[in-house]
Amino acid sequence: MNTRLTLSTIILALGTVAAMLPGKENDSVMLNERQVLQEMLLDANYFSVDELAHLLISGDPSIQLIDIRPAADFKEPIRGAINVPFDSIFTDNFAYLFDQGVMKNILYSDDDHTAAQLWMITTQLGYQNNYLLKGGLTEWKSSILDPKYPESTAPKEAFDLYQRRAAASQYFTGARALPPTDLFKPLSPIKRKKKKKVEGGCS
Amino acid sequence: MRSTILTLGIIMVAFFALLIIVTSGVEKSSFKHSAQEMHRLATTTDYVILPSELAKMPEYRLIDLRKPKAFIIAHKDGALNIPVSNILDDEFKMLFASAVPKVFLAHDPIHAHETWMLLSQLGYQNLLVMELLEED
Repeated sequence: MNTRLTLSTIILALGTVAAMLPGKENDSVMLNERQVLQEMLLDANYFSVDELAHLLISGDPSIQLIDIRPAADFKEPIRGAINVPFDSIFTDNFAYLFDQGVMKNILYSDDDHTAAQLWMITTQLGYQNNYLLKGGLTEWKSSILDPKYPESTAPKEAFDLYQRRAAASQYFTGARALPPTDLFKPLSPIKRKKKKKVEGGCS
Repeated sequence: MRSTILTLGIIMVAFFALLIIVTSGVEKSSFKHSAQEMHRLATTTDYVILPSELAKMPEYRLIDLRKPKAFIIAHKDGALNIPVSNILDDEFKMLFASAVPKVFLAHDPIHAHETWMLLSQLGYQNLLVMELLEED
């Protein structure tokens, strides 16, 4: 009897200890602050507008663009984007969209502000495959849809980049993207001297 | 009978000991807010400040989140350099916990907003992000 009593006391004591073990302060958060910081510092979590343009042009089927602007502002999005307003990510239960392992979600808004907030939320919840578009729609419009011709003193790389962006712009907007004609001054034709008839010689 | 109970007792003790060892090895989260609370906080808090508004503030601590190399080349007067990678270091806990407004500054606005989210979720208050204009 004494043995049973001792055993019961031990189990009760251990159960109490187990119940008092410190758990996560917030059960909804999957990653701790250090893990979130590591994700923040990982370049692979961010897409530049040039990388995105390349992926869209190459027709990567795994890309899912998510525009998180309010529904009323969802005008002229990046081609193929769906609208998931930031305000409603929890009320309308969009977890299935962010918590999946098939598509690469690229999140964007007008700028980095709101998209960074959503990316932080999805990251700490442990959701995979969510990426952030650096510069958002503003950067997309200024760099891809309407690229600026570099200064004449710019390095060759700047001209190469411009050419790639101008081509992308044409892809996404059509003929509107053609650069102003005054940037390309036609070369004046080289006037050739008329050949003179050979004169003289032996007579 | 007695030996069976004793064996069972030993197994139970071993199981609980293992449970304690495993759970104590996992790094715990110190977040004070859930993801939904952070979503609410982010949508209701206006924490972005313009340089002109900052000039009117009587007291603040400017925190430059760039890497030391970029900070050395040029930085704003009075700014303290805390690279994003060091933001959770123990030496800065007192600063973040202080009542003085902490203004984050980064040429990459993504990191400034992410830092605001991270530290706000840890329960720190009076955090702001300065919006950099082209000329800044």
